[in-house]
Parts: sequence; structure tokens; C-alpha cells
Amino acid sequence: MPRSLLLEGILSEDPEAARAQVWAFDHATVVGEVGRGLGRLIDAAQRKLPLVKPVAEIVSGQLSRLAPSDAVRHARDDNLILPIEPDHWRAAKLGRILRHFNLRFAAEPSEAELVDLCLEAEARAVALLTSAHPIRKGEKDADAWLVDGRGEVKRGVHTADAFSGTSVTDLSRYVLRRMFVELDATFANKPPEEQERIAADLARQLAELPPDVRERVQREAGVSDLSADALKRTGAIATVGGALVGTVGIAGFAAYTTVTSVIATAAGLVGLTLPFGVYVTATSALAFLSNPFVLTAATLLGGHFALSRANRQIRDRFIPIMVATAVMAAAATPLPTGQSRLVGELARYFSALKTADRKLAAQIHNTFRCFPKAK
Amino acid sequence: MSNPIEFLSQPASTTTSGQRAAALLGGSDTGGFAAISLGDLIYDRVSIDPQALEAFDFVRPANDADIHELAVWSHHILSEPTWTYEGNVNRLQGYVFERMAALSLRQSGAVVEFPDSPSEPGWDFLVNGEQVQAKCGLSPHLVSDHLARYPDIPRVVVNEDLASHFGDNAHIMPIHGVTQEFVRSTTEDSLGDAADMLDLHLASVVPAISVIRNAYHLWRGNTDWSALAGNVATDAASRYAGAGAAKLAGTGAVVMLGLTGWPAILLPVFAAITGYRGGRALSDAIKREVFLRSERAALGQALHQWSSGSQRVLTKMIALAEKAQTRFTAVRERANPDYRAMVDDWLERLRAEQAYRQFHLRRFERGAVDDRVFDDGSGPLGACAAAMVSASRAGILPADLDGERKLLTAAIHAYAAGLRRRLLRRP
Repeated sequence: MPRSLLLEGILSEDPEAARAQVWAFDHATVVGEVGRGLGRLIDAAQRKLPLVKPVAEIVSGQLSRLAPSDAVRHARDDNLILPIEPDHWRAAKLGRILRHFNLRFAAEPSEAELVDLCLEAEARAVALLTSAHPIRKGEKDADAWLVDGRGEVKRGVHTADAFSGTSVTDLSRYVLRRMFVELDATFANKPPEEQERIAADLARQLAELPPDVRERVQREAGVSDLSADALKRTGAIATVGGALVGTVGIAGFAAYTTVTSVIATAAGLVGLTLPFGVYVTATSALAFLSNPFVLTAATLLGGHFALSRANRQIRDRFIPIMVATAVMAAAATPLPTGQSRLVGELARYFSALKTADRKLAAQIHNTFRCFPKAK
Repeated sequence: MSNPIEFLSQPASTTTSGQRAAALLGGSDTGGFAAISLGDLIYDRVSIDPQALEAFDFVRPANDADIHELAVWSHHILSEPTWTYEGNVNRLQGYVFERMAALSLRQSGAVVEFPDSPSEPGWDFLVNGEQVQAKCGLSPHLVSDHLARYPDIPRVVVNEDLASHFGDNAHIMPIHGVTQEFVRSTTEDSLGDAADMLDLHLASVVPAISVIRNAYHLWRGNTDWSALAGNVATDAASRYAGAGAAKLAGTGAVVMLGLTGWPAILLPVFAAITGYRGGRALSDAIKREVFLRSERAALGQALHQWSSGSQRVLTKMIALAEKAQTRFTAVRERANPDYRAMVDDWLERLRAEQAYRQFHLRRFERGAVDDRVFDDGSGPLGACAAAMVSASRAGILPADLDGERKLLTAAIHAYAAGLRRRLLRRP
């Protein structure tokens, strides 16, 4: 039976990370993005114009919506089933990935169908990334890089947008390296004192890695040391992050944890709870800016179709990140054993659908999203 | 798409967001139709002579400046019987001449004022404060009759043709360069241009676009002579039907909503463009279901055979794996208790593999009789790709289904080529 790295990764992932991604996915919408855009604007205004600070604090208090720290409250606020358990968050994440690719169980969930759906989702995620970041003939950029099928970086071959991979492992490497490149750019725009703090945090996290992994990271990144001063240099986070991603398969879960922590720190939020949920704010903004046609249509028409299309395009950018983190978790852990338990949980809720009232049925569908349509 | 490998490895979307937006809006031929329709509308509007427009508005003061009402009014005049039409044009050309004369007099420095009503007895406008009659025609009786009837209004402006009859009368003012024929043709042309704003010329524009589009693709080698006639006929008929029906609905909506002015002109145009886009979908459906029915049937047949072959191979694989399971179960019974956990793990893996094969077997059993099992909405080619991927995931090797693979590949190739030849775009 073929292995699905997506499924194995989902089963290994930290439930809190899965929860943050579920929250971020559910809020990756035009409305949410407009709110976050306003939040960023207010933040910038606060820094440049101290006089607006009291007003901005009131407004940003209303707009700021990071994933609630209370998992149960989050589930309740988002109309998900209660009580929410670790496996539910993983299943909820998987359900969102499957649903985004128009995949759902044909009947009662089975392990065989789950594996098949996950393999199909992997193929569609690769196809999606190939569409979103195609290699265009004749395009060359000396400062850009390409991640090829083996995950090797080739400088000056194609634009940074090029994705030439064919597997979900290539996708994972590509997405994570790009995340570090974009986070590096974000880092450069932060105030000096914040850069100082973030660099110190990153250096501390890297220092906790085993010495052989640290050496490998240094060698691959081409840096003499991993101190805070070295990390503050332009491009250091991108190269060190890229090298760190390459160690995950070898160094196991320690490296996975460090990668997620480094991303969270570079994104401006310390801790493992919300590493990728925060990242979506940066990427979906890019998605927005890169597609003014959809934004304009959605704003002007305001129609359900236009909004759904715009929301889907925002989520198109987020889905590869969700797949990449799962695949990275799969590479970092031994073969997981929770497949049957996950299917069992899904099957239990699927059976509950038969007797559920309308509200519970809606909650079950809203939580897992990959059950067959009600007839 | 010439081979399944290319088909299977294609991106989710091979186009840019701009291209997808353009495709959603209808592609180049809908764009062409929209450009021609809107261009023709603009051309018709700017072709209406300004003096004629002023005259028409003067005649129908209640609806002054309502462009839709002007178009309907003009259309009504043009569609009247000949004698009524002649009478109307004769009357209107008088008003148009008044405007031309007024412009000419203003250009020479005179002060010209029009009355509020077009029916002042004996005079049409004031020139430098004096009442003046305007006469346009070929017979001098027009002027003589006026002078006899209104001797206190001796000033008359006339067209160039009439001026020669009254060379010694200083009160008869000729408008040089303005002949009766010119005034009449300006009046008729302006009425025609205004009425044309309601007419999208579907009967000529739609077939012309279809011919040009098909000829272009013939030149590019995407289609051939044998498909050309059928393509043109289907494209033209479907798009004409779509655009015509939608335009009719748009015109009905204008009446129901009570729209006036430019919205009333533009709504049927945009409705026709939408209908034209819908006509393309109708045309594509006809081509798929009628022109490509044999290729499609062959593809369906090949897919059934692929499913049946996969079913056959999987049944064999399951039977062999069951034997292995039985063997391992027997080994477990004989094995040292220390190794039982390891054998149990093997058995568990075998069970999972069998379940996975069974899952695919059931899918192929259904697929052998029902095309829709593998179709996720992307069409027959997508269903074939899904069936091939499904077989591959189930562990079936290309060599296991060599005959079926060749048949399916040939059918995919034939259908994809047919789609390109008929739909004039990559499937």
C-alpha cells in the first residue's frame, strides 16, 4: 500500500499546531484579510504617529483576532463540535485540506479510502503549487533560486517563483524555504530593537540543537556561526532557515520543533502554539495584492460567487503550507500508529450523523468537512 | 494533449489568473463580439448628426435627451409604411434644416433664438430679433406660398436649390452648401443611426466572427477543412440563438423595469454578450455530444475495459495475497511466542494492503459499468486520468494491462484531438 506522507504527518503533528492552522484556514477570507490589513495599517500608524496611539489601541483591540488560547472556546466560537480533542484538531485540519481539493469520503470512512484521499490530496497540492508558481520559459534572475526535484537550491537559474518539484516532499521543502525567505524580508522591515530581540531568540533556539545538526546547518547555510549578530545580517534567516529545513529528515523531531519555533519567532510571535496561523497573515496579504482582479470583483460585486472565489484563492496560498507542515512532521517522526484511531473517530462521528439533529449535524460537517453530502 | 503522461502531470491550472479571468468572461471570441457590439453602439451614437439630434429633440421635447427613447422613436418612424415614412421625413427634414440654417447664421455672427414650441405660426426662429421662416425643398412655391400667407414675415432662409429662384429678393437668405438632398440624407441617416442603437446586427456579426475564428484556427492547424463547415454552422447557430434570446430578455427587462436613457440601451447589449457566452457553452455541448459522439463512445468503452482489466488483475492480486496471509497465519501458529508480535505486525500490514486493494476493486467494479465513478466533474479525460492513477496506486503495473493501456491511450489521444479540432482550444 502506498504511503501517504500527508496522512502520516497529520497523525504526528502537534494538535495545537493543527488547531492554529484550522483557525487560520477558517479565517483566511476576504473579510478577515481586510480586518488584518487594517490592523497592520493601524500598527504602522501607531509607530509613525504616536498621537494616534490611544485611538489605534481601541480600534486594534476590536480587530486583533489571533487564535484564542483556549482550545475549547475557539471550538465553541467557531461552531465546531464539543468537546474538542487532540485527534479532532488533526482530523479537522485534514478535512479542510481534503475539502479544499473537492475530496470527500464516498461512504462510511475507511482506512483504505482515507489513504487514497490523502494521496489524491497530495497530488492536487503539487499540481496547485505548480500552477501558482510555474516556471516561465526564458525567465532568469541572478538573485533568485530554484528548488529542484531533489530539494537542491540552484542560484540564478529561474525566478524565486519557480516550482519544479513532482512530489509532496519537494513541495514541503519548497514551501518551507520560501517561508523563510519571506520571513527574512519581514524581519528586515522590523524596528532595530525588535530585530535584536528576534535574533537573540533565534540564536538561543539554534543553540539548543544537537552540535552535529548545528554544524550541518552552518555548513549548508555558509555562515561562520549562528550567533544573534550573524542572524541579523540580510538574508541570514532565509539561508539558515533553508538549511534547517534540510536537516529535519535527519535530525528528527528536535529539528522539526526548531523549524516551527524559528518560523514563529521570525514571524514575531514566540512559542509553538501559533507558528503557522500567524504566517498566513503575511502570505494571504501577498495573495491579495497579487490578484487585484479578484479583490476588485469581490469588493464591487460583493456577490457570493466572487467572495467564494476570492476566499478560495487566499486559501490556495495557505493549503500548501498546511500540507508542507504535515509532511515535515512525517519526516521528523517514526511511522505513526494512530491511523486506525483517526478513522475510528471519523467513523464514530459519521455514524452520529444518522441520528444527529440539524445543529449537531451542521457542527459535525463544519468540523470535519469531508463526509459525504447529506442526501 | 498528445499523451497520458502529459495529461497526468499537468498543473491544476495551466493558465495565469488573467487568462482564467478572460476565459471566465468568454475568451477572445466573446471579447470580439463585445468589442464589435459596443463599438458599433458608439459608432452609431457619434454618427447622429448634432443638428439632426437637436432637431429631433426639439420635435419631441417631452423626452429630450433620452437616448433610448430617441432610438425607439427613430426605429418606429423607419418601420412605418412608405407614405407615412415619407411624410415624417419631409416634416423632420424641415426641422433639421432649421438647425443647419441657425448654425450657419450664428457662424456668420447673427443672433439666433428658437421659440419654446415648434409650432409657431409663420416663423421658425428669430434672427437678430426678427421672425424668420425656414424653407427646405426644390419647388419655389414653398416660399411663394409662405410670402402670400404671411406677408408680415418676409424673411425666409432657404436651401441652396431654392435660392436661385429668388436672386433679387434680399429677404430670401440662402444657406450656401446646404442642399435639399443633403438635408434629407442627413435626416434619414441620423434616424437610421439612432434606430441602429437598438440593433446589434446579430445576423451578420455572429456568423462573421464564427467564420473568422474558425479560419484562424484552420490557418494555425488546430482544425481541418472537414470540421470547418460543421464548426462554423454550430458556432454561428448556437451563439446567434444565445445572443438573440438574451437580447430579447434584456429588452423585456428594460420594459419591465421601466429603464430609460443609456441603461436601457446598454442592458440588452450586455445581455446579448452574456447570451453569446452561453451560446458558446451550448455549441461546445453540441460538438461533444454530436460531432464527437463516436470518439466519446470509444473512450467510454476503453475506460470500461480498463476498469474490467484492473478488476481482473486486482482479483488475482487479492487471491495471491490471501494465500500469503494464510501462510503467515500458519507461521504464526508454529512460531516461537517471542516472534508472534512481529508476525502479527506483518499480518496487520497485509490486512491493510488487502483492504486497500478491496477498496480499489470495488471502485473498478463500479467503473466497469458506470463512467461517472471516476469523473469528478472534469469530464471524460479527467475520469481516464483518475482511473489510471487509481490503478497505479492499487499496485497494478502498466505491463499488467498492456492491451487496455494501449486502447485507452489511443482513445484519449483521439478524443483530445477531436476536442481541439472542434472546440478550437486545448482540452
